[in-house]
Amino acid sequence: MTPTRRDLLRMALAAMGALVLPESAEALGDRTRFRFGHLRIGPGWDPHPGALGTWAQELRLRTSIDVRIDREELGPGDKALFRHPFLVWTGDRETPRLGDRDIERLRRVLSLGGFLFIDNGGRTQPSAQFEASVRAEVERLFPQRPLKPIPIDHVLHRSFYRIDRPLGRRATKSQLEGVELDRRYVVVYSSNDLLGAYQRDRFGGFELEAAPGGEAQREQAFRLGINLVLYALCLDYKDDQTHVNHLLKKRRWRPGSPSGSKSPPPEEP
Amino acid sequence: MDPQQTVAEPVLRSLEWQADWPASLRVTVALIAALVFVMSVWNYRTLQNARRRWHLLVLRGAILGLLVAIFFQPTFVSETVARSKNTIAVLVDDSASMALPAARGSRRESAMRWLDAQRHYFDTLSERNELLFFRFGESLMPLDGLAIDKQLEAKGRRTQVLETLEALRERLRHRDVGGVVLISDGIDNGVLSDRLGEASELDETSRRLVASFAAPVHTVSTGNADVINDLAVTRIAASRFAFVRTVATLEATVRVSGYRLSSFEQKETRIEMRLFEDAAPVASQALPLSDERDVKFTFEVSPRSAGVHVYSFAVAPLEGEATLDNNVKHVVVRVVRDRIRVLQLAGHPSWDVRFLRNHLRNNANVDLISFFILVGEGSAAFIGAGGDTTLIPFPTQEIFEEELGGFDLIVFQDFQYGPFGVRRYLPRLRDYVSEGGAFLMVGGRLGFASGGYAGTEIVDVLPVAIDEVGSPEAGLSDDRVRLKLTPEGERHPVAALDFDAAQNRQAWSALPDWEGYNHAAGLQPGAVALARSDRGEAPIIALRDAGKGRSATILGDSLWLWAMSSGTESGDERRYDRFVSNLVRWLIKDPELRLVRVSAADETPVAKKVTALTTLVLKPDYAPSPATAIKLVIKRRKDVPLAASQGTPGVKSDAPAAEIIETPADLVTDERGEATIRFEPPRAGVYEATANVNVAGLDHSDTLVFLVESDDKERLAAVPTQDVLGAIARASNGRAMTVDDTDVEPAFLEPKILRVTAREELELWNLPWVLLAAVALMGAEWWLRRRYGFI
Repeated sequence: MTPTRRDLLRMALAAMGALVLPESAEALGDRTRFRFGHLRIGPGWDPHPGALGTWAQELRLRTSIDVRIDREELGPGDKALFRHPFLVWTGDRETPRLGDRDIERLRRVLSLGGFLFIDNGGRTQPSAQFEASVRAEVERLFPQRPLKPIPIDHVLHRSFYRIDRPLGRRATKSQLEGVELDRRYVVVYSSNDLLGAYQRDRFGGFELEAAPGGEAQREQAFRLGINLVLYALCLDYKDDQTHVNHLLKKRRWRPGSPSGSKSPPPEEP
Repeated sequence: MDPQQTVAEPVLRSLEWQADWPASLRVTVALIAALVFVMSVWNYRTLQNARRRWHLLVLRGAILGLLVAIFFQPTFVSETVARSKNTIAVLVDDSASMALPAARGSRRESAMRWLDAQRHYFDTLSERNELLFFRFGESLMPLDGLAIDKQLEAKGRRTQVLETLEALRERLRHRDVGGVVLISDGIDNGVLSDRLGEASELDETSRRLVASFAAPVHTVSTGNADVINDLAVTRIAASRFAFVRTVATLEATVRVSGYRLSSFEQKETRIEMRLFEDAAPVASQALPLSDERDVKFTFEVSPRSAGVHVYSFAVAPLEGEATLDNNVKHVVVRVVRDRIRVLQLAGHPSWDVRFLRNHLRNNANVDLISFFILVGEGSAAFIGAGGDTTLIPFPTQEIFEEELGGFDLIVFQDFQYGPFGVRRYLPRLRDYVSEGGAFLMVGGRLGFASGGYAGTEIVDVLPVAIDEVGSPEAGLSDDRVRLKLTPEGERHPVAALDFDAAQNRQAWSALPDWEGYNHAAGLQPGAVALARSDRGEAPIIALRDAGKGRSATILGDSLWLWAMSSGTESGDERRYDRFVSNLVRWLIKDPELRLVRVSAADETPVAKKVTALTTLVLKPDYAPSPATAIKLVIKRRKDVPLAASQGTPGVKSDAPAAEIIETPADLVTDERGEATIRFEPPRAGVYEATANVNVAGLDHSDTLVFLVESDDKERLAAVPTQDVLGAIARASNGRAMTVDDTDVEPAFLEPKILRVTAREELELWNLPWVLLAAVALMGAEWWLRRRYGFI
């Protein structure tokens, strides 16, 4: 696949950044920077090597988030799960059943504030076995809260970009699915192989074709990735932004100003 | 006075039946008499001659009637009666306001002139009525009617019209009242004025009292509002409570007496009103003098702190005012906190930002507005074209120029001011804190020295000093450190992750490592560090009281790890929320966090009357702190200035001077943690009681501001603001007059009570001729019965 001019610019900047700005230069404790936690579950846990690095790179270029490019590989029972609230679970085949203790720990991480993104990385089409495994484990994580379609008007689809359809490398399904807990999605599942759109070959180009939309679809996939991270970090912040003028002026605090709530009206003592 | 005074009346004659036989006997006698007559009729039916029958029946009826009449003892009574005099009470107002001017001389003098003019009429009345004279003010006192002038002093401290009428009613309880005359200037400061309010007629209870005299209550008014030149703050309308940092409306009414445009100087004259909060000037207004009697001023205030506040309205005096005592009026407003309004500005999304936002959003008492900077400086080239983002411009001006003062707490979280034009607003942010606001600065790679804050005005109110650094990186340390609770932190409510001291230390020691921190150049004067790094002793968490506000700094962005690390075996998921909650409450000065609280038994004590001031001291775990020494200082703030040139709002001045009134010695709390003193305010004004206590090695204090009202209400009113006299007259069908009505003779009721002075009785049934008549009638009947053949 021929890289575009934008791709070349990105590669050049990435290279320059690596030379000029040592990654640790901006660090205030590396462990507080945003870093993907990649779950090692089963043999096919990393169908798209390097994709998370690309995702992190896009975050760094497009947003103000302080991102570590490298991922943290984590077993589902690792204590370090609690230090990586954004977890990614990918696969292209059936995965083994998780232990009860792992389920308990994973549930705890998500309940305390974590976020789990599950991506179906089936090569030619979504892996039915992986999907079955995912649904079963999600059911164990949150009994009676199965994965449900996320409405397109949910704030996740406008946490940074406005997204009409949450696409990945594929455009198989028109909606993401998720599990909601305490008014936020703690698990989001994509059948469209999002990370597949990010995987690069050794020349820096993209390994896999985004179909049927081509590079425009890949751009949509990158936007979805940005939105997912912004949602995990900002939650419903964008919902408030639609009312920001009203919220700013809600309290009438300055004498003489016309609008907003006031203290009770005067009465004769 | 002799209540037996009477007026002679003509003789009254009447016939009385004086027998006091029981009713059963009376009925029996009447029945027997009727039976006998019926039997006679039956007996005489055989008599053919109707005329003879008629003769006999008439005689028999007459005999029976005479006997029955004798049985009931008829008596002829002749009485000589006389009518008692009733009482007319004349009440003269002897309060201090009667010394004020009237049309001619003082009001007291005009009252005397009216009485003198009525002297002949009163003398006439005294022939049939008893005249009693009284003076009244705070109480009702009798006067010698012959020397009233010498007994009136016009010094009474209050005028209580209704209370006076009640006392009069009690005095005249057993008398026949012919009427009352009430002479006054109409300025009441007792119960009646409170009940009358804006109404023109008496309330039901007052009406019943006036009506209980069953006689007219005439009123004579001496006050003439047009003669007096006076400005008086008569009414204040304010809600009893208001919210912090929310506009509250206060209204004051000034009664203008005497001053009229046509008679006053031609230059533009304005009525200037100034508003003070706790004796400090906050606002002023001026309205032109017109012919309107009442001028209303409306102020809007935005209280900066919770608690009791005293608002004072002072109207600048005009030339020739009768009194300046009524140029100031106060009102007490209790300011409470509405929802806490928090502004969170984050330099970039991060887990630290996310967890703080989540905590604040989940707090039902918090109204959160967040702004996150979502893009970096070079991001524009990579975001993509076409307006597909949901990014909005950062509203710098709106936040920092228009709405800053409406927030209770402002958080800068790893926020770099440079790219957003915020630099010029940092002095404003400093002033916001100094004037009572709360500010939290959380670090990260864009905060503190790395964010270029060294040398900026905001540092003036921060707990830590910030040095200039050569590069942003130089302001950071990427050392992983452990947090050590300082001795101050061990006692401070913000650092209380557990109420038990030992458990609290344990909790702090189990916290995860702090992943790097921002450099600081040490603590500012008055600041306290709650936790330091174990290496380098950097003040990681620090607090400060800055002016009237508070600030806090967290050097680093690792706090969120407290929330996530609670998933480990030693973790406690409440640690993060508890700490942040403590911090927010401390920053906004949540009254419930105070360990020292001063309160007064009376919301508005009265001068020269004892009230109680209580100081409550709590330990850091909020249990009562017994046997704790308190240093209490009670001061009286300087009176608000009246002159227009003084106390100008907006001009910085020192805190209002205060005079120390009392410093009770050896004040120690009891087992309930309380210490109460009895305090007698020497005079009216705004007072403050400050208690300083050392609790667990830290100094705590609390100040209560309270208003003391004057016990001398009479000085506050120069002209009547209500038609008290007219309402009383109307309620009793009396007449409302003025002192100019000298030729009007008010009507009174005639005496009602009659007394019998002599009585004569003539027992008709006991006279000899009645017996003779009975014998004659019986004899005549016997003769006729014999003649007609019945014997």
